[in-house]
Amino acid sequence: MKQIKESKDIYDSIKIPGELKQVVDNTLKEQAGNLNFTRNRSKGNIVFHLMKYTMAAAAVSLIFFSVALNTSEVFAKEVDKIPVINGLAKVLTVRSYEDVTDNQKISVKVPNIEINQADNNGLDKANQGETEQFVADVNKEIDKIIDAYVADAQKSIDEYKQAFIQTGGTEEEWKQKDIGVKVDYDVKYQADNRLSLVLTADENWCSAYGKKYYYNLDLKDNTQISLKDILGEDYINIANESIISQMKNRVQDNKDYVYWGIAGDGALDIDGFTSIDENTNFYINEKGNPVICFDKYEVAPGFMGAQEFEIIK
Amino acid sequence: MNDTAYDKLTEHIINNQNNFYRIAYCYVYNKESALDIIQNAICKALESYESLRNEKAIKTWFYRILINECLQYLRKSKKEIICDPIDMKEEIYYEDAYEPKLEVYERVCQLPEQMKTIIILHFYEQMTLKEISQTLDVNLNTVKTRLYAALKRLKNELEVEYETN
Repeated sequence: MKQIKESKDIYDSIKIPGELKQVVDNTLKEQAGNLNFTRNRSKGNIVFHLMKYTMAAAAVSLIFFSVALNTSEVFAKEVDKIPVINGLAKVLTVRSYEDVTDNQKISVKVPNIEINQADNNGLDKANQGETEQFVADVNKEIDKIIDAYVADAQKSIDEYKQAFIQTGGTEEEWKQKDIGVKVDYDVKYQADNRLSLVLTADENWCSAYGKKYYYNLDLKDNTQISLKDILGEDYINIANESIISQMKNRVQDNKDYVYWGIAGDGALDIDGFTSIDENTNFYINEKGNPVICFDKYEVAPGFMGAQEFEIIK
Repeated sequence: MNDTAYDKLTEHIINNQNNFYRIAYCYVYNKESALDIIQNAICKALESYESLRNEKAIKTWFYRILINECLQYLRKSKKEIICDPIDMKEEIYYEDAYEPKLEVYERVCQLPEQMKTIIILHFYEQMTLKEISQTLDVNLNTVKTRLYAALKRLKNELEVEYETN
């Protein structure tokens, strides 16, 4: 019994994807629309029955008119009441391919941001064109990054294979290595006019080759959101203070942890984290807070992996 | 037309979406499928919310729809989706190599559907056995029987596991 209760931790740690909120909000909104339709239709039937009992045709059409008007007005209010926070854009996988050869396995998912045509509340016509252009540029850049990464990975794998075979490895042994490249993305936050997206590219035989790209977009102003936009003018101090105190707390909770230059055994011998700047990587989490990300090895030893720090606004 | 019921339902869905996702994920182990299931469940619920007579029953009523959707999804996809250990590892990437909690969780996931549903609702979603019996529309005693059967099975499996280790 006790063990099962404890295993709830694992269940609770199931990661909630950033898209969930949007799926829920959109479905609620769409359903509200359908409901409007069926409701009005049933109202129509009532009116039809009324007609049987009413002799004056003119009076009937008048009733019909006012009833229909009323229902749609009531309904319009209802739609407004539903707290829908809807994104201006959605992220779709446009290209997804797997290329499995004897040499390696490449699996790629290319994200594509699309403006929600049906729902561009808050975007006026003139602005919409600009946003489309902005989004198209971002999509193009992502495309380019992915293509370059895959080409690079392909090249280094080919070189590695050549070296492997030359030094006495066999094709059989190479296959067993099961070398692969994986490109994927994760939508971290999506609400209002903000969209946060992390693109991950990895080669499984050398974790140091993994790369992450962060996109935080404001689709109203057509800009990349900066930490300053979220945390304000004093963002550097706010973030630094929070990161350093989080590092110290983590070391206290786990004695094996080391943050170079900050805390942990022998930490002071190596230069580590000093300050964030305007180019520091981050994404926006489901609460709308920025999460600052450091690559593996950047602020801590490799065994600790990539490090993330949520900065509470 | 009972509009407050509609509002309450919408609110309930918005407030508990994370719980719904976790349940769905436990059945399909796949983000896209879980999101699909949630979408379908919301559609079903909103379409038939008029059949919800007692507002206090929103919780059990929605869980029932959700779980039916999960099971239907599994049946439709026809593939047998069992716990894929690789997927699960991803969730708890930072955990230690041997983690008794994870062991138990994996066992729970591998239980037959009927038993698994009860364990998830009772221990993970913290529902009372009475609520579960309403959710699943089965007799309270049946819920108890299934729960004890599930616990017994888990206990046996974990003991075997422990001995072989």
